[in-house]
Amino acid sequence: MENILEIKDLHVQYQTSEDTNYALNGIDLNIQKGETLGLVGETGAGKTTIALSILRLLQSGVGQIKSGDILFEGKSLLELNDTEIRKVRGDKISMIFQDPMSSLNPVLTVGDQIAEAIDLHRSLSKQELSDMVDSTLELVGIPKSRKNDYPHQFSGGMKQRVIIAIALSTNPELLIADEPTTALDVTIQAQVLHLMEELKQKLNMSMLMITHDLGIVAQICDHVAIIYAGKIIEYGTVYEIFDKSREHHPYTKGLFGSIPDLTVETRRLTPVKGLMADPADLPEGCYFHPRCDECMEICKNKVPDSCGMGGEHYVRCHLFKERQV
Amino acid sequence: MKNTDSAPRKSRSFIQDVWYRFKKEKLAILGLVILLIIFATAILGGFLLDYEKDIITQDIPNKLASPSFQHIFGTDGFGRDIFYRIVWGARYSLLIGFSGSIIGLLVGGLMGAVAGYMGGTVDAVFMRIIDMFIALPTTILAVAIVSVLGPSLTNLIVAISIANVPSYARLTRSSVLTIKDNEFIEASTAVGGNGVHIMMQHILPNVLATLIVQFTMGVGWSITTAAGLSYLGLGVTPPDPEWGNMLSEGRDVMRYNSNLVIFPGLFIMVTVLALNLVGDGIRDAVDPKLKN
Repeated sequence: MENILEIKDLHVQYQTSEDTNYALNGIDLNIQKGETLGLVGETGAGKTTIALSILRLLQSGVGQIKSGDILFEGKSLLELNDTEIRKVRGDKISMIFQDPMSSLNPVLTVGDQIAEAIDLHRSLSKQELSDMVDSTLELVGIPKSRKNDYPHQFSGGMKQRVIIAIALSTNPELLIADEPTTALDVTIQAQVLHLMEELKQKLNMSMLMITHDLGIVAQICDHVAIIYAGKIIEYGTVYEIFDKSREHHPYTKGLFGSIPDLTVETRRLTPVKGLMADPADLPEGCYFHPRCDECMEICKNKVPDSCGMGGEHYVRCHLFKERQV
Repeated sequence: MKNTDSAPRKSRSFIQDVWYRFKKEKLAILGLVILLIIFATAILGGFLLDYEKDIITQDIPNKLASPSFQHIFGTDGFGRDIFYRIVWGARYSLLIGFSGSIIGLLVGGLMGAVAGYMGGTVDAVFMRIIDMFIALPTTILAVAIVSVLGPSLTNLIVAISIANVPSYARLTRSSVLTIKDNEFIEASTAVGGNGVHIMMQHILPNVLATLIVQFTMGVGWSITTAAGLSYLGLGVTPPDPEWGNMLSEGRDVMRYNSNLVIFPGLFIMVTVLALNLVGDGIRDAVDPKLKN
């Protein structure tokens, strides 16, 4: 399979007047053509930073890509100048933002906002543009009669559909979905996910699905990467990650331990103890060691390497070091 | 909502949309009608009245006449018809009010938008300049400008424009600052929009409502300020009639011949009121959130 996106050893820092936040600390990630990669991690792990780095949307002066490279279809995105990156944004790579309530401009009709991306990248006549807006709206299941309505006349789920429509209007090759369903309730979540899955099949695009919801991952992802404090700590196919007979990173086990299991009777869920590592003051060695139940002496001073666990499954933990090939 | 295959709801442009909602505001329509009447009289007056004969020729035997069929608002201290002079004066007042506000809006709006969008040094420099102007009371500032440049119509417009700049600049800047941090701006960057595109497509429509309201109110302010300056002898110079200097001319005989000040004063008041009504109406009309 050909990789559409390759992230190589990406380091990103947020520089504020007080301190430096190490948001990403050497991310290696590949997305294959036509597949969906799930990026899972808790708040502050660096999920959104990855998305923003790909589109080069990091706040200038604050967020800096320190080293590493991002290749899209074999070409580096980091070397493009402003005009060239604008041609990639929205055309080749689209992004769905987290909050549908604030991602739409309240004073423009939804039709105008869908037309925006198309208009920026294609030179079409007014009629063709309007036809394309109609078909995009119908693609996401909104009657085209509503294109002259304003965002506040839509419900949350409908707004998220509009945002998906904007992202899909140019037939992008890669869609970055940054927690597309967090702001929605469960029923609408299911609808939106179903829709995205359907559209992905129809348009044959690749997708980077950023989420902290393992249910979503199981539903639509092909591969899963689990991120902690700006490092990928486990990677594998969705079957490998959800396979309980396999061995996992202690953090992954913790994540699964915090989901309710209908088949087992327990009074409480088991959370991962402690808090996310402070990106301004990362611990020595393995970033997870202060919260890890299986912490060893070596974890406190040496950063673990990635160990192959068979198949496409990789875990970054000292526990499995001996098995490294 | 409606069924799937129905045609799109009647598509309206932004202006049509605003007009559609504006029409529903009765007071705003009243204001607009008054404004149009004043405009029409000012324009018609320019054609029907003869400057030499009707406006400045003195007729001393007939001075300080009370309102009558011949002179519906009476005559002033030189026997000139007050109604004709008010009609002629409307040209000056509207010209000064609108051009002063438009120039102030363009210059101030541009400075504020650039300062707010770019931030950093540009913001600091622009805003400190604006602060300098704000430190002086606007009327005093206008007085100072006119006294330096000398009283004339052009200089009065310049003074009013400069006095208008700070409020537009600050207003635009603060609106741009609140709009700029919205996620939809980031979303527009993410679909490949550049700075100018984002400014015109996303920020401007959001700021427009506030600016238009400020503009209509600002025209009223400009008209009163211009009248005030003319009253002080710093604006349009006699014998040209301007509402402000007509007030000034009538001041001495106000006690017995109040029609000399009442009518110009009334016109200033009605014009400003009409502008404010229209401003309110436009504010409600451009905000789609109030649309029902």
